[in-house]
Amino acid sequence: MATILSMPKWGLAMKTGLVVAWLKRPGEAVRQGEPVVEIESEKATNEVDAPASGTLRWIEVPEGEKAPVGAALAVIAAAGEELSDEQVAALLREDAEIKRQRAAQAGHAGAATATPTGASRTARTPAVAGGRVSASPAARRLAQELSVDLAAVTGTGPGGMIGREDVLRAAEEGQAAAGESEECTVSVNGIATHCLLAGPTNARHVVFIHGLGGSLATWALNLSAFAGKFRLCALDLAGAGDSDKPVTDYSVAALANFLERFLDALGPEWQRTSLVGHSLGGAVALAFAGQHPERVERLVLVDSAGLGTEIDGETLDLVSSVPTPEHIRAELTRFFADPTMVQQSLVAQIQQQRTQPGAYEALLATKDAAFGGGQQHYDLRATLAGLSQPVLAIWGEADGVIPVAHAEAARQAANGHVEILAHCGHCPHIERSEAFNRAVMAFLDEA
Amino acid sequence: MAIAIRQLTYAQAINEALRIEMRRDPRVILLGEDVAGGATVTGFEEDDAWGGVLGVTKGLVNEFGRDRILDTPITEAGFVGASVGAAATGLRPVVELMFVDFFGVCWDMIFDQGAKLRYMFGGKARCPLVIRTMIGAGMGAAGQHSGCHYSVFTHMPGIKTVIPSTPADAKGLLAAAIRDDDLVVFFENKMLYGLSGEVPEGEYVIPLGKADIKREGSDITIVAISRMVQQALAAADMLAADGISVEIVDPRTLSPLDEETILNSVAKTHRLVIVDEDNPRCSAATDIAALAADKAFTELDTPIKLVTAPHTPVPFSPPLEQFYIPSPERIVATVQELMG
Repeated sequence: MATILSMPKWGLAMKTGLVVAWLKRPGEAVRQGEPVVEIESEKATNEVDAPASGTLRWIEVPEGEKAPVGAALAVIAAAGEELSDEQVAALLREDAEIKRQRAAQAGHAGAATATPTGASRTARTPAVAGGRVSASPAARRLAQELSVDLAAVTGTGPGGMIGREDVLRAAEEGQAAAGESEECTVSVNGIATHCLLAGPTNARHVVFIHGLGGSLATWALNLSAFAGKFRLCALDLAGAGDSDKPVTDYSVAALANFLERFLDALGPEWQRTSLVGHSLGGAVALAFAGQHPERVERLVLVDSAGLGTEIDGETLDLVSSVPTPEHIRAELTRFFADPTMVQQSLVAQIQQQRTQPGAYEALLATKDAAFGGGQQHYDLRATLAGLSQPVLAIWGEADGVIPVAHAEAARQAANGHVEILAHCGHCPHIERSEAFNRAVMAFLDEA
Repeated sequence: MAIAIRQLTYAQAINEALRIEMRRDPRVILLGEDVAGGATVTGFEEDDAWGGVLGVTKGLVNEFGRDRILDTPITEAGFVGASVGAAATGLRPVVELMFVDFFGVCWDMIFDQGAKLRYMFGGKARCPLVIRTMIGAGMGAAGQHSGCHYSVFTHMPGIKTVIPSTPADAKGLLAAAIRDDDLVVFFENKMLYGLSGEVPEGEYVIPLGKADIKREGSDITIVAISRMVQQALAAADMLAADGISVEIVDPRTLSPLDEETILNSVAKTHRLVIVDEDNPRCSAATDIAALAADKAFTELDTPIKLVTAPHTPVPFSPPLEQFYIPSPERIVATVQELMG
């Protein structure tokens, strides 16, 4: 039986991937586990292994093209299996239909359509005939016991009938999906605010706030790690990412107010939460904590603004320049100690965001409210010093945007901690994502 | 229990069971066409008597004499009726109905007399009778000497039906049948007479109503009847090469039927195939399928499949006769269809 190789999903925020290079040509033999294609996501480039042995029969997505997570990339024919072009087309149609049904089942507009167990899925027939699901009695009983909706299960039994194995697999995938993200849009005083929710609802709550010119996609390498242990929300601030971009006040104080209303809109369970803020998002989190100390359990400031006056003026100039790929690449290069961290897909993603209607204006307004003349307008060190809850300042040692010395301000807080990551620039959550995840999770998890 | 295991054929095992039970109980007698060697022939007691059309009762007349091994005329209604009467009045006859296909001639004696005695007399009358009869296609014996028909007998209340598939089962089940106080029909598949297998020596009794797992497996249950157990075992070997693990349940008796063993196996494998050489309408196979559908419905992961003879008499043409009998290949194909 032929096998479909699909776009993998690396991290909660990954929506699409770029096919950088096919390592095998059509007609070439592939072994299961052998790298077949190089895929670049927003933050990483990786090889994807063949899910089955056989012959690479068909490449659906050529090099240089993007495809959404879960989309079919190629068809691998089993050894000795002859597939006509019509059969390949039929397999791909079937695969798309199965994924479409599964996505519809997931029920979240724009939710990830990934196959949660990995990058591959063997082509199978949907078990719905004449409106009634074809399932064995044993499968029906098991589905009831495991609360699996048979309409969303693919049958592999005789005639495509759903069997026990199919239900068990769907249940496993469902559990995996429970650990997946849920995207939603929350109205905050009329501002449609895009956010991503993940993790067990009975866990400690954590909110991730991106920095200037960023979006929740900045947390792509972090959210899956945190979602195993925390109920998390990453949002696109007003004026950024996929949230509305009205002409309004984008000052740190205004964004802190926005954060308050956003959390109110999100639900009562977000009344008290820990905050993780990067750069300008750190300043927003800190300002919010200063105004509503009772609502903040723990505070993580990542290469945060608001803890000193200095900031790299050149970076700010690049942020406010016309969003061409060259400018964005130059800007992003200043964010990393290792310039190879700047991937083409990251540049493309940021350009796409900044060229949305109103995005550039909102970015300029946000920047001008917070910074100017190579200086930060907000000094929140007194606020920080007044906080009694645990605070962690985590910083890249080689931050070229906001000096690492600013991290020391956290020591003025009653319960402040400082963590400096070597070989790392302004974005430790990307450049040293594993070390960052470990340190921040340990901090948030302290009793 | 020092039972030495040695090899006997299915026919020898039956012969041994008869001999042991006749030694054990003087009320046990044998009747039938040529069971001694011919009613009018003299001198067989000294020589090697023929002992039935295929020699199963060979040699018994030498030990037990013509008073207990009775050659009968070709009058099934007469000698089966006489056996019912003898059973009701104190003997424990074992009567041979040469081919089961002849049951129509003596059916009244069996189902309307022998099978109903105990019920109609409130338990005061008994019919401890065993009817041994040959079943099965494969010998080129055509439509009137090749049927199975145990389903017809199983359908009738008051009759116990035994369908041994191995030499050891034949011995143990025949002993139990002779010791049973009810009418038991013991179906001997003529194609199994030459089959050798380990058979315990001495008295050996297998209780009626106890199925036997002939092969343990985890993927699919095959309930196979009589010779079909051997066909299923051959199929299971072929399927094992494909990585399919087959469990084979031999009911050994159809009435009473060991429902528990069958249902437990279905609950374990979630798949059921029934292999039966009898005709498929109102048959043992459909009965077992109905049992699983009724009592193990939510255990079933695939449709219940039947591999049976077609709904025809047994054909004489050798190729058609082979086509008629469920083959290991047909069993393999059916299992593969279910396993996907």
